[in-house]
Amino acid sequence: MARIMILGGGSGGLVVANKLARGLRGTSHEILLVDRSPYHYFMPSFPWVALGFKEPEQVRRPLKNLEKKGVRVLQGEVREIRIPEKRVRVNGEDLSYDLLVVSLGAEVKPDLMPGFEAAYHPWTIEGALRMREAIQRFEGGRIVIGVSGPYYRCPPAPYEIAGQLDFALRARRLRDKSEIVLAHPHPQPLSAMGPAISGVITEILAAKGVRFEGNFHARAIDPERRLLLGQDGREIPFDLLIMVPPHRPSVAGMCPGLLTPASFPLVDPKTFRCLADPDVFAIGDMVNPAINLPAAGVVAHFQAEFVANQILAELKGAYIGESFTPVAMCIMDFGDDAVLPMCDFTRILDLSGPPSCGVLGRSKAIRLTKMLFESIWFATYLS
Amino acid sequence: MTEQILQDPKAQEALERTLSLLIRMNETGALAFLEDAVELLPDSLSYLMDPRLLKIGANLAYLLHVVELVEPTLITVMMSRLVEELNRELTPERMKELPRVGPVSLVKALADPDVQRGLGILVLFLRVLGRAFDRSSQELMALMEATEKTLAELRRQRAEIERQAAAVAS
Repeated sequence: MARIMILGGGSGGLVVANKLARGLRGTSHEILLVDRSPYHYFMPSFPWVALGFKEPEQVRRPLKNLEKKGVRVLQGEVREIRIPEKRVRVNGEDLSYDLLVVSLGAEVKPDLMPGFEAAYHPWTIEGALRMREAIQRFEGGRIVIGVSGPYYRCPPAPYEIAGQLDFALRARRLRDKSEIVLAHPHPQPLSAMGPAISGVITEILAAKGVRFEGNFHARAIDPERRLLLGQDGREIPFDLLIMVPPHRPSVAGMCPGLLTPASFPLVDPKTFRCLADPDVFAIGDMVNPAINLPAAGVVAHFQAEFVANQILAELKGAYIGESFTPVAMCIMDFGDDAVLPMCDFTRILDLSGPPSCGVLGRSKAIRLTKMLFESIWFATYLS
Repeated sequence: MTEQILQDPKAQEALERTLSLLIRMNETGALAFLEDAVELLPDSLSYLMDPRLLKIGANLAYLLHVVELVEPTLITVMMSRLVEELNRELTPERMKELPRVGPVSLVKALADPDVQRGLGILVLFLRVLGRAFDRSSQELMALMEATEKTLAELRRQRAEIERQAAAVAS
């Protein structure tokens, strides 16, 4: 009997747990999922919480629901992963494993940016609720949406927030006395996803009157003078600042000596096995930037499928049947418009060329798809 | 509460019909198929995410977008006039004796105002085509150059990571 421990109940951890629960049904193998939160949150809906379209309880489900499927769930903080001993320290207790999947994601670290207390953000549920109050108090002026660095969860989110804010301000008849500025390190909107997607997003932002300030690398926030300060000396004044907080991988003492200079776990990009020990897998936002994949839930999802298949193959001698699909797609809701971009990162993964990206659709109906996807996600993985 | 609902004749009728449907679905195998389909649902997303399917989808979506850009009034009027003219000119009688156009009659035809308008459209189209291809090739060249620079940096980072991993492993 093997104990498979999954650290993290986000997109990656949830998919691994479900796939293993189905594949190991009727066997004596144990699946244990550890997360600090009692809930799984559907993070793509956080901007909707911030804009008042959804309530927190609508975008979360208890992780305990997994127990009906045969997955043991433990609520606790992962303090240390001791790979040589095959043990994880959770809540002061040492737990052993035979196979480990680490999918702890990225953590927001607002303190890493000076003056961040003057900003709002929907990258956590608490942050989304604070941002909602700030938007409700807003009576017109300049809203600046800034990005603290290139590494953050869900690269298209700042663009969506700009579009949704435009829509919300129009509805409240505040748009005429408001300005929306999006300051981003990229030279053009979503330029990392190629000209096809960038062109569409540029067009939408222009139609909504959102000013794009490209190549803006934020250095700090000046709360007194209400300025967003750039590394190149640019200063952008704001009345309301929405800022993507600094993110860091949640490594929790993982793979000592085997982290990249930027603290991402070192993994084999073909198998996602940790180079320190092949019995340890690392997937999702905590590892993807190191292998040039975006920090997005959809990528973690497909990595999770692949990792679960490898584990099933190892435990059951099973036919894996599929390989990792390095594609990402994201339903971008702009309020009165929506876009479904997709990128195939196969060439980026083997460093042979640019990603192959296109737009799968642009229509208000796509917004409905986002709502439906949330329902399907919960129904499939946490019902 | 449940007992109360079950006393309602309407609820009893709905339940009877549902049970009857379930029995028929069980007999025909539809129920067993649904059970399997439900089991497949969590995997279906990853199968649908085949990059080849997505690229077909993105290209089809772009073609549909081009169709969407055409103003329905304009296309309807233009196409209906074009069809009218084609019907008038390309009659079976005319098709039997198609006019032969040599160098001399080609020059003569150029004096026809309709031919001149048609040529104008063709020249305009050729100008647009040339300009669009020139702009797109410039954009693609710039993109390839930028991508190569990025990839070179990523290759350098990947090599450094692999060197570090090899050092730790040894």
